[in-house]
Amino acid sequence: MKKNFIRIIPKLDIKNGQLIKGINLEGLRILGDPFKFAQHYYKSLADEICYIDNVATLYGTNNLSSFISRTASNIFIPLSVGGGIRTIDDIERMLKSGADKVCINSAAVNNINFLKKATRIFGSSTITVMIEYVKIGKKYFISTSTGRDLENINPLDWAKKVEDFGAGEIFLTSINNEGIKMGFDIKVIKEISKNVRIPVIAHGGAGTPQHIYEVIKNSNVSGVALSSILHYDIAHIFKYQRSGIGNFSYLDNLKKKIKPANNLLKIKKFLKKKGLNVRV
Amino acid sequence: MSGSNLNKIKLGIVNLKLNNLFSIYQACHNIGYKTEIVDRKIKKYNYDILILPGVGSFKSAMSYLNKNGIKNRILEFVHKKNKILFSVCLGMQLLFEESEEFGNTEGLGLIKGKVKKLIKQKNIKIPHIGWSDIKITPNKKNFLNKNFNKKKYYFIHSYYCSPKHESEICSSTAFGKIEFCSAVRKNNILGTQFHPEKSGALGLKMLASLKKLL
Repeated sequence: MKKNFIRIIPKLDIKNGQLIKGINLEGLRILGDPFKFAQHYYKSLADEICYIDNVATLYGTNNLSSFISRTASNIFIPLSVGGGIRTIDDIERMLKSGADKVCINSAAVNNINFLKKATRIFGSSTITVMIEYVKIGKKYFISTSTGRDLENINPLDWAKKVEDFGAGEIFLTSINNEGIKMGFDIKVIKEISKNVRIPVIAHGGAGTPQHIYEVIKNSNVSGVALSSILHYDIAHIFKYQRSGIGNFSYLDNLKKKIKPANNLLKIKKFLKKKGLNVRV
Repeated sequence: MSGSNLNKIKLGIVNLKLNNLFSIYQACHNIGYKTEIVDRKIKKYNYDILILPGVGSFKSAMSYLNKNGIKNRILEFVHKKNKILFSVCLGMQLLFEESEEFGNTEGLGLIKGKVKKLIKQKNIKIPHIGWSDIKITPNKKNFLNKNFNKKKYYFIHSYYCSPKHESEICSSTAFGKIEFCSAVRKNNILGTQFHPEKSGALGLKMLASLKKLL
């Protein structure tokens, strides 16, 4: 029996047109022009690109359209887009700009029927539900607005529910592990991917290629989303232009010559060597 | 990648509404085809290659084609000489007689056979989303050459095509324990279940190779 190829998906969080990266979804640092990063990942055999507008829900905007179009004009792999998607019109606008899949989180939590309606119109495979969960003490919560609000809902129950309401895929982030680079929350990822029939993408915690191998090996995930492990190491390649306000300290203090420890292609080759089904 | 002779080839992409036309438009445009979106108001299909794109539901796509008279224009198009109809994903499924999606729905009927739901299998996720190999079938009329064999392409679907005539199958793809038809050809009517416009450089090469069939 042949298993599907595992997708390795660079996840790019965007704020005001800049690629940003935080820790536990907080403390955002500016890393540069997201399009340049996406182009680099396309050449390094990314299986998909994921753009998330991090503050869209908070400010009630979504200005990703122009990025999506610029990306889809030059990068011929699937493009998932999320952040602040609230209406059917929002989804249509994203798809028309060149997105292949749309990720929703808050809008589904606020009104599960919105998810159902969206999957009826655009087809299940177009709609991904992002589940961002956090463990506090012994209890699990799901979170909306990129980690700002907590909902007293168990992530496994929620995963099953969004599957019932037509979600085509689940993008699962452990907020506790996110940005820490200490490995994935395999226990929960395994539990959720075992209990739903739709694909699950694991996100949050990749610090080494071995971490990525372990989560794939020990769960039934269909893909892994990566951010910190990829972005920091290549930020020095791109000349950046300071524009707008924000935390530029990471870029300002970049050493001139860093040897990238973890580039995407290297990670994929590592996984292939370990016997996993990846596209290299 | 733009070829000098490609820009003489007129390529139209049928607008089924609701889909991501942008990517396939950009792919064809970048390759060098003289590309345009075919809105419902356009009655004359003065193209060399017509693309029927994917994404969306079978039923809503068919009702859109029927309601706006596009179905008849496509049927007329394929009867002309030196024309290629190339269809992607849902577009390929629309070529068939009927689909199981949301109750049986009648398709364009250009190729004999049905569209069926991917069956549930242990540890296999549905929709089938991701990169999978295609195995090219030994078929004289195959539009896929050996350069495309056993390579990976991007799939995203919950239904698959089951052609009545094996001779029309151009490639197959393994999905768990089953194998489904991932590319089809009947005369000048072609289709792929995968998205060449989303399959990186190799997918673009496949789209560029269509010109050789004219």
